[in-house]
Amino acid sequence: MNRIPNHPILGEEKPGKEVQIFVDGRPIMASEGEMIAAALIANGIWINRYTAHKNKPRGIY
Amino acid sequence: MIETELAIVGAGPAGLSAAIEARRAGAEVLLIDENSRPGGQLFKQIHKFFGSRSHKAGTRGMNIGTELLRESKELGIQTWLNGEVCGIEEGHKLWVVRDRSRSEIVKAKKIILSTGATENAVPFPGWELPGVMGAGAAQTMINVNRVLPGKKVIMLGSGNVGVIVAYQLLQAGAEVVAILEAAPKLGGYGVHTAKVSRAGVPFYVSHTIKQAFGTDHVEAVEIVKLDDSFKKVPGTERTLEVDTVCLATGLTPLTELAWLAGCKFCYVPVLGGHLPIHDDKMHSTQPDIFIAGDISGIEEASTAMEEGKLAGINAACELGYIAPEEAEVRSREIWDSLNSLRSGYFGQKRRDSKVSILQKSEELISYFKAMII
Repeated sequence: MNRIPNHPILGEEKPGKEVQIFVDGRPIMASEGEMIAAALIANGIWINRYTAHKNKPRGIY
Repeated sequence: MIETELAIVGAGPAGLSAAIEARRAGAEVLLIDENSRPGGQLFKQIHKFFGSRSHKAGTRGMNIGTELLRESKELGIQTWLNGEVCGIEEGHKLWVVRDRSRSEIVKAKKIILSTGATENAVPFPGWELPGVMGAGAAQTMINVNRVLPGKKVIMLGSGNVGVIVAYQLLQAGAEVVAILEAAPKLGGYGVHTAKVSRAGVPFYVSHTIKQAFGTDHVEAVEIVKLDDSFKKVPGTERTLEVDTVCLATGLTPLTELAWLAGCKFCYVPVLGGHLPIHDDKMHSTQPDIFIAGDISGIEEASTAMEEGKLAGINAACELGYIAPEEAEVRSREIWDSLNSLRSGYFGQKRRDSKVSILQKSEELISYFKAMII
């Protein structure tokens, strides 16, 4: 998990309602209402797509 | 078609400040933002701001954002979120796509463009790999979304964005392997730079990234020394193991709507490149179109808020809600504040550049006046 539950400035994050989402058929847990890119990173998914011509991985930027 | 007196594009620090001033004066305001939350970049700025107390120095950016939203709510400012302004047509008509699904035309008597800026990228082999991202993107992930985009980070660029985000990455629990600076001198404010340095992060001046390695994700970068003319020095390469590369290599004003509206531009590298020429009331060269914030030159949220106030007050004045004498007095007060924000080693350059833009604006006005005669 790549979440930051405790932060020296922002404090403790109150856990939101957990929801299950499916990424390429695989279930992962996300926090309700959060950005999808953040849910993917929280679950260690860095590749968002592969390019059409050279099949190279791409992530957030 | 919807009609309003004042349409403001962008609900960041500049747009919110403009909306608050104009609405408080009595103008009918419609504030439009493409994001689902207003506040622009303020909510990821968890550090304390600089300046004097009247500039809210010592207050964290996110708290300034909360305060602006509270004021705008109290004033009942009409706000469209998830609203992308895709065009400006003749007659001050804005084409807005709302909720990515339907078009709406907004006809406004006055328009303020406070669209902000976008991050610059620096290309090198491997720059497209997952794990290479703008420093601002990483900042959003850690401070707004509370997820860590990487564990071992290298920062390219030692300006304020670079050192502030590096420090915030440390606060979020990441390791910052190094901060690189292409110039021979560090670029950020001493206070921020010192904090990162005290935390043990090494700085490399006259260095850049030669390439990033990895198959599905960044695994390492090769850094290289630069000579006085910014050319790579062969034989000085070394490899650092990292999983994330953050690019803090400057910002560019988001000016598309100003181009579409026919505003005249000038090129000012110190302020981020091409930007609309504007006068001391934040008027562009197009009648009824004002600009404020990063679109008028890359600076800081504190200056953006002052410019927003200038635009809001002067737009409200032209709409007849503030007497010209009062607008003049209040504008002068804001200029005193802007001048003090633009002082010191870093501020003076921005102040000089702003003065040159105001001169251009005057030249242009006299040029067109001469044409008419």
